[in-house]
Amino acid sequence: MREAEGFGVLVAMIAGFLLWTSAFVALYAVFSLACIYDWPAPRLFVVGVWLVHLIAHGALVAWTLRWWRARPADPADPRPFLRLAAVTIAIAALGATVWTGLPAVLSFSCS
Amino acid sequence: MTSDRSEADRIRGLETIWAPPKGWRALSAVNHSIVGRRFMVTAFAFFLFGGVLAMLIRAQLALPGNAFMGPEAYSQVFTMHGTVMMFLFAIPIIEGFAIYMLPKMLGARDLAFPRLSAFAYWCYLFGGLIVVGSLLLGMAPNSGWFMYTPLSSSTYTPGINADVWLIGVTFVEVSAVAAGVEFMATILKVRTAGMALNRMPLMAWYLWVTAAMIVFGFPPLILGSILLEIERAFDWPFFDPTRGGDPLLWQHLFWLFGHPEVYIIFLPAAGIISTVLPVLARHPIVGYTWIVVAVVGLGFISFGLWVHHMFTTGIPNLALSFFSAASLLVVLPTSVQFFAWLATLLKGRPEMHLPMLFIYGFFFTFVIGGLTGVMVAVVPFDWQVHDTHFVVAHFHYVLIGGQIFPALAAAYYWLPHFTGRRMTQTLGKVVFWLILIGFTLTFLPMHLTGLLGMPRRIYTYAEGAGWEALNLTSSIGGFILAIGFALFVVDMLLQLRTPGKAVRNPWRTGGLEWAMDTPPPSYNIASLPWVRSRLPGNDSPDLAGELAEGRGLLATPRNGWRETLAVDMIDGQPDQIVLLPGPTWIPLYTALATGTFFVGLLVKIYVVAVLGALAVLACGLVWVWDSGLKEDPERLDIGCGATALPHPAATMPPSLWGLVFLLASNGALFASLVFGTLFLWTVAPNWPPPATLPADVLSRVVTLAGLALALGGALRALRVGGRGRDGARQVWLVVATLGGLIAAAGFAAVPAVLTPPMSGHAYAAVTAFAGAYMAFHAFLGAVFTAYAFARGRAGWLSAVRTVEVRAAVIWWIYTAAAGLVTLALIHLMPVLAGP
Repeated sequence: MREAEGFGVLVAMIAGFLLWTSAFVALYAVFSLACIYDWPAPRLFVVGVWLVHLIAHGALVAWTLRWWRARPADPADPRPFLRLAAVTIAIAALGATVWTGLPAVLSFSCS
Repeated sequence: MTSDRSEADRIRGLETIWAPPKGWRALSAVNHSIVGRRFMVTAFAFFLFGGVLAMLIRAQLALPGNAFMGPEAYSQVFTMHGTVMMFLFAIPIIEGFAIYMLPKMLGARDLAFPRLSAFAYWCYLFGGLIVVGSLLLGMAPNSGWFMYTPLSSSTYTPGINADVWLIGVTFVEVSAVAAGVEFMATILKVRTAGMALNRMPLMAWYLWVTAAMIVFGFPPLILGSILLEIERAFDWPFFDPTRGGDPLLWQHLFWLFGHPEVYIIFLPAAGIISTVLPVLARHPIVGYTWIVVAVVGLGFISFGLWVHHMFTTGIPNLALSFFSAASLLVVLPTSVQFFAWLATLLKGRPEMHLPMLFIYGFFFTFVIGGLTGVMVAVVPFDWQVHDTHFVVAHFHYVLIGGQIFPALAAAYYWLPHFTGRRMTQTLGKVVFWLILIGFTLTFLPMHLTGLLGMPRRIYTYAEGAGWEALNLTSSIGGFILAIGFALFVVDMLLQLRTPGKAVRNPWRTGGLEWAMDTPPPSYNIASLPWVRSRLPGNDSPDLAGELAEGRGLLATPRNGWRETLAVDMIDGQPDQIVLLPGPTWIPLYTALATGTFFVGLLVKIYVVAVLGALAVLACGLVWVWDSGLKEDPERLDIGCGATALPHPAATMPPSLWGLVFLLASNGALFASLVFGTLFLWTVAPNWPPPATLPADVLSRVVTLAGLALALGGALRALRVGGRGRDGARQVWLVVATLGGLIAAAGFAAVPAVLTPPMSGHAYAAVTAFAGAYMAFHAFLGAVFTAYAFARGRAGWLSAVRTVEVRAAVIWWIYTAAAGLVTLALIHLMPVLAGP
C-alpha cells in the first residue's frame, strides 16, 4: 500500500473525532465572537455551527458504514479492523458532538 | 558442525555491530536499551527527590502553626515537588519505558532514530539538573507548578526563580517532543514483518496516541514559556493587562498542555494494564478494537477539557458548559477500558502474582480519583472546592492511582526481562500494602480537609480550624507511603542480586518482548519474526529459539550495517531496510550546545545564547551529513524469500515521517500563537492598540515572492532531480535558497523595522514575535535547501536518493502555509478588528 494511501486510511479511521474537534473549536470560537461583538441573534450562529457539524457527522457515519460493509472477508486483512474502528469512532464522535453542543440549545446566555 | 560455526559467526557479527562502547565511551552509546534504562533510572532518582520534597510538605502541615518552614521555603518546596513529579518523573519514566520496550514489542532491533532518543535523554538530564540545582542554590521556582501570571511576572517574582522554571522546563520539553516524534515514526513504520495495525500490541496503540498527544500538547506550553520569558527579559507585555496583555492567555496556554498531560501520563499506564492483566488473567484481552477506539477517543477528548481548570476565572457560563460537557464525556472511553479489563478478568483464570496485586491497587485508587474527577467536572461543585485540598486529593488519586500503581506492576512484571534473574515476590507484597495503606491514609482524609475549606499552597494554618486531625493523619500516611517506596528501592536492589537465572518467558505469554534472551542482547533479536497474530509466541512455542537460530528476517549481518525493518504502515508488509547509526557523540554535543543556549538565556548573557544556537545548527548539520548512501542501492535479500530497498532509496523513509510529525508539533505551536493573537485582539483589555503596522506594500510583496521562489524552487528541484537531471536540480536548489533568504528578510523586517515599540503594547509584541517566528523558519528553510545543494555536490543525491530534497519540500510546504497565515494575521487583523 502506498504511503499516502496508508496515511489516508489512518486519517479516515479517526475522521469522526477530527470532526468533533472542529465542532468543539467552532462552538467555543463562534460563541465567544458572537457575544463579544454583539452579533444579532448569537444563539442562531452557535446552534447553526452545531447543526452544520451534526450534518457532517451524519454523512461521515453513513460513509464509514458503507466503507465497512465493503470490507474484505479475509480475517488476516487489517482493513475490516480499521473500517470497524472508523465506524465506531464516527458514531462515538457524533454522540460526543451532540452532547457537547447541547447546552447551547437548552440554555443560552452570553453572561 | 559447519552450521554451528556459521551460526556462531552470525551471532558474533551481530554482537560486533551492535555492541555499545565500553568505559567512558559508553556515553556515546545510542542503543535503545541503554538509553531507555538511563531514562528510567534518572526519572526514578528525580521521583525520590520529589518524594523527599513531599515529605517536607507533610512535615510542615502535620501540625498547626508549624515553624518548620517559612512561606518562601514552602513556596519553593511545593513548586518544585509539582514540577519535579510532573516534568522530571511522570513523563520521562514513560519515555524511558517506551524507549526500552517499544522496539522489543514491535519485533525491531531499535527505534527509528536512536540518536534522537540519546539527544532527548541528555536534554532531559541537563534541563532536570538546571531545575533541581536551583533549589540547592535557594533560587528555585516559587510560583506554583503552573506559574500563573502575574505572580510569575518580573514585578512580583524578581530574580531568576521563575526563569529557571521557564527555561529548565522548556529544555525538558524539547526532550519530550523529540521522544514523541521518535515514537510516532517508529510505531508507524519500524515494526517487524506481518505486524499489520490490527496485530500491533495494544501497548503500541497506547504509546502512539500518547506520543501524538505529546507532539500536539506540549507546544502550547513551550510557546507560553517562551512568551513569558520574553516578557520577563525584554518587557514585551504579552500577559500584562495594563498594556494589552492578558494573564488568562497564560492560563489557556498552560492548560491546553496541562490537561492532556494528565492523559499523557495515564494512557501508557493503562497500556501496561492492558498488557499485563490478560497475561495474569490467562485470557486474551477482551475488546481489542473497542480499546483502540476508546484510546483514540480519549486522546481527542482530553484536549477539550482545559478550561475545567479555569472554571473560576469569569469565563461565560455557556463556554464553561462546553468544557464541563467534555469533562463528563471523557468518562466514557475510560469506562470502556475498565469494562474490557473486568471482562478479561471474568473470562480468564486470574493468577494472584505480585503485579496483579498492584493492578488491583490501581483499580481501587483510580476509580475513586475518576469519580472525584466527575465531581470537579461539574461547574457549581468545582466552584466550591477550587484550589482546596479536595483538588489535591483528587489529582493524587488520579496520578498515583493512574500511574504509580501500574508502573509498580510493570516494574515487577518486566523485572526478569531487565535483570535476567529469577524474581522473588515476598518483599514486594509488603511494599504493596505499605504503599496502598500509606497512600489511602494520606489522601483519603485530604478530601475532607478540602471540603472543610483548607486552601492548597498555604504554608501553615491556625489551630481550631478543624483541620488538625486530618492533616496529622495525612502526614502519618505520607511517611508510611515513603517507607513503602524506600522498601521498593531495597527490593529492587536485592532483586539485582537474586541467585538463579530467570527462565525464558516466565509469565508464559506470546508477546514478542519475551521472544529473546533476558537480559536482552544489544541487537535484541538475532532475526526478526514474520508475525501472523497479535501474540506470535503463542503460534510457535519455541519462537525465541527459532529466531535465535536465525530462522527469521535480517538474520545475516552485512556491510557492518545496523539493520532493522520498516514496513507498510497498514498491512505490515516489509518495505525498507532501515540502516541505523552506531555509537556517536553528536547527540551529547548537540544537547550541550542546546544547554549553552538555554543557560545563556537564563543568566541573560545573550551572546552565549546566540553562540549556543549556532552550535546547535552546526551539530545538526554534522548529525545528518554521513547518513545515507553514495551509490544507488538495489533491493537486498532480507530472508524468507523477500527483498527490500535500503531506506536512503525509499520515497518515504522513517526520517521523513519524523520530519512530518516534527512539523505537526511545530504547527501546534504556531496554532497556539494564532489563538493567542486572536485571543488578545478579541478578549484582552486595552485594545485596539494605539499604533499598528504601516500599510507597507513592498515588504509584503517581497515576502510573498520569497516564499513562492523557495517552495517553487524546492518542488522543481525534486521533479528534475527525480528525472536524473542533477545539474538542473542544483540550480533549482540555489533558487530555493535565495527565495528562503528573501522571505526571511521580509519577515525579519516586521520586528526589526515595521512594528511599533514592542514594550508599548501586546499588539506590537505579538506581531513582532510572529514575524520573528516566520523569519526563523524561512532562514532555516534556506539552510536546508543549501544543505541539500551541498549534499548533491558531494554525490549523496541521485534520481532515487532524494531524501534531502523531499525534506526541503516538506519544510517549505509548512513554511509557506504558515507564512501566508502570518501575513494575513498581522496585516488583516488591524483592518478586521481595529478601531
